[in-house]
Amino acid sequence: MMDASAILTDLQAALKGELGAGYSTISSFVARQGRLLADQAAFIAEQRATGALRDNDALYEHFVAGLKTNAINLTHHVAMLTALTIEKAWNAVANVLWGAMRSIMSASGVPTALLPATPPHV
Amino acid sequence: MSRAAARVRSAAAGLFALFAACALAACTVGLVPAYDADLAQGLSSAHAATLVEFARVEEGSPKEDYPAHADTYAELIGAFGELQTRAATRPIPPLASRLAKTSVFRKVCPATDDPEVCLNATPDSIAMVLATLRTMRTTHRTIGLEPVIVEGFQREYLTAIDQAMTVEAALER
Repeated sequence: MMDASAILTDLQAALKGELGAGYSTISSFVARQGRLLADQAAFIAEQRATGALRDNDALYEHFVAGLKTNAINLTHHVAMLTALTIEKAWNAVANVLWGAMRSIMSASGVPTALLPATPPHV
Repeated sequence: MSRAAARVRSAAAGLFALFAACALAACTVGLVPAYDADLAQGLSSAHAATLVEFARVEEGSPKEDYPAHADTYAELIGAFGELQTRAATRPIPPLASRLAKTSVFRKVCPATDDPEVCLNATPDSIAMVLATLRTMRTTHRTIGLEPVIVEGFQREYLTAIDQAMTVEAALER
């Protein structure tokens, strides 16, 4: 039968795995997007100063608006990836505890048919 | 009698276990939409076709050449339009919708008008892709495309499509 320390060890491993993977995904995404946005900004500035956008106000305004929209959208995507990481971490904890509960209850004689393999989902 | 009583006790214990586990472990939750394989695959296919079009015009293309590209623009805009609709109309988990209305979530999500965009950000990135392609098409038709202008459109496009594809891939869990 599982004891509390075994459950805690499993919880820590599950949390560490999900939070580590989530951080890695967000970190590499932000770094890549940062480079893309910086390149976009440098392109607009350079072309407005001495290049093809110097005399084309309409295209210049389009590219500036596009840069702004991409930057705002990035913040929304980071928030979404953060929500996803929280969801996965929460569910990892729920699954470990549910598994431990099933194991304990099953050993106590509760029919396995009454204990679904996965916890309820809301 | 005692056997029936034991079964009742077992059933009661099982139900208790369900509720206890739900209370102690909480239940699993959904905070962002489910993975949509067709959407992810559609983005990948449309992205590949768009990169081909960028390659066709990367050395510049005068406005006289626009008719040869008109169908491709229409196909790309149509494909991304369909994907945007698909992404925008998918359900957000009910719990997440309720959380999005709380003041705590509004502190996390910088979108003050509609906090649910932080739970389904892909449609806005596809909208950016569509804006890029439409402006590029108009520019091509009216004044032609210089190589450096194509580069500008491509940079803008790559930032937006990277956002959409990264998040959609991450949703596979």
